[in-house]
Formats: sequence, C-alpha cells, structure tokens
Amino acid sequence: MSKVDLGAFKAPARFTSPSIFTWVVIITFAAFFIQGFASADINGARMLQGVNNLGGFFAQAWPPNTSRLEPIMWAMLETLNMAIVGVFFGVLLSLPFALLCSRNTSPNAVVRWVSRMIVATLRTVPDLVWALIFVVAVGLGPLAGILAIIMDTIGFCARFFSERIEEIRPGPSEALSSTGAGRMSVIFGAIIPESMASITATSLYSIEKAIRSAVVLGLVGAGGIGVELSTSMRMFRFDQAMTIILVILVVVIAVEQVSSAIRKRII
Amino acid sequence: MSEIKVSGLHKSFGKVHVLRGLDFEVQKGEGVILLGANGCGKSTLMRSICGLTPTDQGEILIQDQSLQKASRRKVMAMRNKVGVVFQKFNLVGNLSVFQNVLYGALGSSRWGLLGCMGPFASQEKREKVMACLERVSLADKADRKAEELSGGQQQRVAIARMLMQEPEIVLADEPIASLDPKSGQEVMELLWDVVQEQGLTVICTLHQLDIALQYGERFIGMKAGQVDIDARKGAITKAELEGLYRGQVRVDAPENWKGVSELQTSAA
Repeated sequence: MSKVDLGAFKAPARFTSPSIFTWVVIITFAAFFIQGFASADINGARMLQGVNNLGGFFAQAWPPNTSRLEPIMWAMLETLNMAIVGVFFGVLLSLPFALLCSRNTSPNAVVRWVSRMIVATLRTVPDLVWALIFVVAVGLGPLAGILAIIMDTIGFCARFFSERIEEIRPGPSEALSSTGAGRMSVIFGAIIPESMASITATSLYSIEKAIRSAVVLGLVGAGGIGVELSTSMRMFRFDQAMTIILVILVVVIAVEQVSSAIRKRII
Repeated sequence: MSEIKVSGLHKSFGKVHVLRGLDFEVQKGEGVILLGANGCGKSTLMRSICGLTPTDQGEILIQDQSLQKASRRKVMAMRNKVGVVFQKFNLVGNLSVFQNVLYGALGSSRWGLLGCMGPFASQEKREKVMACLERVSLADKADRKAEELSGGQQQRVAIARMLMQEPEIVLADEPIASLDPKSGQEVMELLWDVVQEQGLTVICTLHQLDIALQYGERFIGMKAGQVDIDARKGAITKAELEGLYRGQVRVDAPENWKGVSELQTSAA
C-alpha cells in the first residue's frame, strides 16, 4: 500500500486537557462534597449506634400491630382521594397554563414570560411548603393537602405539557389554518389531539407522584395517612407505624402498577 | 380577472434572500406545475400564497384581493378558498380519518371547531364527509386512525379533506414526494381528476419531470428565487426543463458559488 500524503490534516490528540469551565465545575463540586461529608460528622461510633438503634426500632415494630387497621385504611383512602382530586384540578388548570407558556400557542411574548414565571414559581416551592402555607390558610385537614397537590401538579404538568406542545409537528396545525380555521380551532383541533397521548401519560405519572407526596403532606397536618404515621412515631408505637408503612407500600405500588399498565396501553 | 396574481414578491429569512422578485399570473381553471431544484424557493412561494409565510415586499392577489392588505379575519376567509395538499399529508395522526376530513369544513363552519367535531357535526356535513371519502375510495376506512393508513392512503385522505373544504384554488406542495412511484402516480391521477371535475385552479410543485409533462398545461420553472421558465404545454421540452436543475439554483448559495456541473467541467 502506498503512503497517502495527508497534508496538513492530523488526527485529533488522544488526550486533551479539560477546559477551564470543566475545571471550575469539578473544583466547585469537590468543595461542596468535602464540606458536606465533613458536616455529616460520620464516624465509626455513630454508625454503630445508628445500626443499633435501627435494630431496636425493628424489634419493637415487628410484628406489626393491626389493632388500628380500620382507621388506618380510612386514612389511606383519604390520602388516595386527596391525590386524585388534587391531580384532577391540577391537570385541568395546567392545560391553559401550558397553552400560554408554549411558543406556538401563546398569544404573545409577554403573556408567555409571565405564565412561565408563575409555573416556575409553583414548581420551585416544594409541596411540603405549600402544605404548610395552606394549613395556615384553610386549617388542618385534607383540603390543605389537596390545594398543595394542585399547586405542585400545575408546576409539574404545565411544564411538561408545554414542552410536548412545543415539539409537536407543525404540519397538522398548518393544514387546519390553511382551511381558514381560527386560532382556537387549530389549538383544540390539532395541537391538543396531537399531544394527547403524552398529556395523559404525564397526568397518570403525576397521580403516582401525588400519592407519594400526599403521604408526606399528612406529616404537617394536611390530612391523610401521614397524620396517623406522625402520631404513631411520636408516641413510639413503632408496631402501629410499621402497619402504616406497609399499607403505604402496598397502595403506592398498586397505584404505580395500574398507572403504568394504563400508560403502556396509551403509548 | 386572474385567480392568482403575484407581483414583485420578495422574501428573506435572515440573510438568505429566498424570493427575489417574482411575477406571474394564473388564470381560472389553469393547471400549473411549478418546477425547480431543492432550495430554489418553491415551498416558500407556496406557503406565501396560502398565507402561512408572511412576505416582505410585493403583493399576492387571490381573486383580485390582496393577501398582504387583508385583515386577519379576511385572510381566514381567503384561505378558505384555497385548498392545500402537503408533501407530508399533515393529518392529525391519532384522530379518525372521518374527523380529519371533517376538519376541511373548519373554515366555513359558523361554530368553529364545535360544528366540525364528530359528535356534534350536522347530518349534512357527516354525509358530505362520506361522499368525499367515497370520491377518494376510502369510505371503508372512515373510522380508522389516520396514522394507521399507508402514505398513499393518507394523501388521499388529505385530498378528501381538501374536497370537503370546497376550494376554488388548490395548492399542492410536492404531493407525491413522500410516496413510492406507484402510489405517487395514483395520487397524482386522483388529484388531477378531482381538480378537473370541479374546474379548479391548481398550482402543483413536482420533482418528477415525466409526471410534470404528463399532467401540466403550463410550467413555471424557478431558479434561485426567480422565475426562469414560464411556458405552455408543447412549447417546452424536457431538456429545457432539466436546465432548471443546473448551475446556481439555490437561494442560500454564496455569491461566488459554482454549480456542481460547472465544477466538473472546469476540472476536466
């Protein structure tokens, strides 16, 4: 084989030094990591004590005490209801927000910017903080939890709906506009149907997400099974707490299974 | 009175000057084939005529009404007279074939979308949809999802949607470019039959010169954003049309760019 003259072109070097940007990221990350590790104050004695305490917890928690199973089941049902009602209204409100946030459906840039800011704020505030706020506003109980879930769902769904709406093919919408259809007809005739599968899948996922968060919301008094759990833990009735944890486990897994089965059928 | 009149039309996307002063008229009932290489500005011209792409300079008259000077509402009314058949069919994939054809009536529906949704549409409209589907021989597929159909069938559904719209002008932007030769031929045959039955004015872009010569009554050839050829059937040969694809054809080519064929000749 004759030698080919490659001229001025050379293969790229095997190794290149990372850019300054990469170095800054690595060093910043390392700084936070080391600081965090140190502040956790990890040492052998503490670890041993922790394992010991955990053993104590399980010893007291097993066998689970089922004497309060009935009220626990009712509380679990309440949690489920909170999640479903919250997600329903959350998804309903997410749709207009998503349309206002998307480049291809928003009336103008100002409206889009404002609604994006609102959605971003709803998303940034954690659901537990929403629950604390609504407990102050409407008092203890499931209503505070439902309102917190609505806020959280809008923050999550509006963003994903809008991303989906922005990435649909423009063709069908153009076809409808070219028949002389108005803006609303195009949105509800082509854009929403085109993104429907993804909207449904996201909504189902947000039910799963809402059930998990509804469990925790009870810890701050926003209704549901979390209230039971926090009471049992504070009264050191670990055997009752174990029953509650098992019930949560079963229900959450069941809901996830059902929802992913439905999603598979849609997509 | 001409159906479509384009005068001094210019359009740029950023630095790329796509339409560089176009002038032509199309008379009622004329079947025009628009030819030109990829990137010569055909699609932009088609999109401008149906009002999907706003233009920078010049004017488009549809039935003597200016598209540029019209209000939003007026543009919607004008679009309703212009049926469009797209290269990619542009059906709403997860809705039924029936629903997609029903959408053709959106522009003339008084209640907007509500009057054009399967469950609420009038009996008269529902029957008309079936007649349109019958015309494209797809009445048996009415309740199927649009995306389940083959490419050729989808394009026929798109033609049925165009029929439902009852347009006076038809713009077909490479209607057979996504289809295999056989279904392409069938779709073209159907499109031309339908257009001639109703005496519609049509502008159709194509890439296959043989098919173009078979159907067209008049040929407009574009090269680098300008009209290069405008001739009636019989007054032009295939060889002349082939010239449209040689030399500097694209609108996004730099000033000193040489066509591939010229590079080859200079290298020889």
